[in-house]
Amino acid sequence: MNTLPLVSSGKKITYFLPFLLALVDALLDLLIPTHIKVIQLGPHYFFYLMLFVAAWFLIQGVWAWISKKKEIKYQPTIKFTSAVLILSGVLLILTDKTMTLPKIYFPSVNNVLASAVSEREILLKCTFYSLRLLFFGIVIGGFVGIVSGIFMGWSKKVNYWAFPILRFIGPLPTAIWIPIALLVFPGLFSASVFIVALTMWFPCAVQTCSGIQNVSKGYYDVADTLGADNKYQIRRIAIPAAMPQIFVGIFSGVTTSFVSLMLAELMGARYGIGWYINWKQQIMAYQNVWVALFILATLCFLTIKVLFVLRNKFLSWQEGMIRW
Amino acid sequence: MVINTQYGHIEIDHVSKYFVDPFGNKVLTVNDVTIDIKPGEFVCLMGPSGCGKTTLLRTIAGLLKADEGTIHLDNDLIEKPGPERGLVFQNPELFKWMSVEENVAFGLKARGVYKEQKDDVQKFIDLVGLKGFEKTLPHHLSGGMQQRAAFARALINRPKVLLLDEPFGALDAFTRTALQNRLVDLWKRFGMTCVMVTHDVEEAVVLATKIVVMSSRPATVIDIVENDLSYPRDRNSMHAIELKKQILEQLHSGEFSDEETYSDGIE
Repeated sequence: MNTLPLVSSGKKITYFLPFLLALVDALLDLLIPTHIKVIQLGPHYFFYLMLFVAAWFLIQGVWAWISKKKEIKYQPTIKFTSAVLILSGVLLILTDKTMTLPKIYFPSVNNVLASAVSEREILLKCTFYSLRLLFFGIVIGGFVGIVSGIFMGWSKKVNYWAFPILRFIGPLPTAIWIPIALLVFPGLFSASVFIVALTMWFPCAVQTCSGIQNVSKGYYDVADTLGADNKYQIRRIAIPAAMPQIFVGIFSGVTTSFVSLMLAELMGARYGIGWYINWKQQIMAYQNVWVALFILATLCFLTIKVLFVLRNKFLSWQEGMIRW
Repeated sequence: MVINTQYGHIEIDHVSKYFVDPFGNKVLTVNDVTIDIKPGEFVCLMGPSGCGKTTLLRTIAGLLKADEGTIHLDNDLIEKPGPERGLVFQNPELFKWMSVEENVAFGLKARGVYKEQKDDVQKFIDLVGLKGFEKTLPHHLSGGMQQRAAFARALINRPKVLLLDEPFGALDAFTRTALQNRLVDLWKRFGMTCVMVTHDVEEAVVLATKIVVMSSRPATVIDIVENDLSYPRDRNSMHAIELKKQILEQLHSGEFSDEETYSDGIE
């Protein structure tokens, strides 16, 4: 984190910039007439959304004005949120109001929101299906990856036999496994989980293995002379010392898992965000594609947020923590 | 010097140790070393850097195996590392994900005796002078404090033998003197046998009851000097200075041409 600039009282007025911009966005939608060629699918959701956003930032601004703690957190975010709000206004004008952008790919902002509202049930279901698949894939793949990585890093024998396999099948693109997964696994769900787990497994195993191998030999020497047996050394020395690298593996595994999640859902799943995007794209309903993309982005963002929280909890001992 | 301890008798009997270089040649690093270390003695292995004395120390620790000869501790053949032989390196090697307290408790937990001896943790932290830093992580400690923690961690197992591999080598002069005094206190208190590798003649003169002067590659014993000065020792006393001179001369005699390296040590 950069050091925060000293907050001068003159600058405090900018705390209400996001509030004002959201208000302007709402007014733009209210005052400028919608382009006549836009077929409105619902009410002016953009207007209501921006009113809500404005209210939200009004509260934030007042809060930051009063509380020093809130101020420190809120102040650095102002620039970014303001830019996002300006862009939203510009997008509204370019689509709904003037139709300057190609209308198929950049549908009316109000219609995107309207389709999100009207299809909320199926979207919720799809999100749930995707999350379930992602969860099982990541947990199984991560667990197998870390455990196999530990054994490969610790035992030369296991490494000798397993590492070539890892090197051979690890880098293969996940898509190649789809036909085999469909054949081997009894159901579509288990096949999909396998695909996601496989993408999670490779980086986890590689990073864990190399993390364990790179543990300072001095630690083991000390532990040996303190009376720790092998099992105790794996548990208390090898794994904690390799934890920073294990996290790198988990992080890169999770991010690539999103790709294979989409692939897995294209195998003919019944629900899921990937499936939804594919379906809506085929029927040229781009407003729905945008909604699904937004949900997917939020999912990725939250997953990574969870990873950060976990890392901060488990790796707080690290000197100058690796920043992502 | 008479020390009343029964344990910690190390017999190093004709020990030799080879390493294999990248071309497959055997390189002799320790050559036929025989030393008898009595219980409770403080022995310094003196010699130029990289002469093989660390190899000898690691062989006593059981981290390396002697290619020829044997090492016995109280009549038991040393084959692998064990908690009765504590080890402190130049680099403290504190487990950096553990607090000072957890580091010190490691030996107790590893041996499964933590429950019975829990109180020892605080006791040993106090003994090395780290009171108030129990919950601190290693990277928040200075080098000297880290080394103190390493001493507590090694001593909590109440080893018969404490092996020290240039433990003060990376510390500033002031910290080094303070820790040398602390080490003498701890040694007097627990009476364990200490074997310390050092290339600092003054350190050897101030600490040791017996100084083993060794030559460089392969390490061979040139002379074993008894040092019966009483503790606490004055490093500037006539006797200490004479002993220093004597040892430096012996180091020279065992050296082939590396004159300059050792003349640095003479004030």
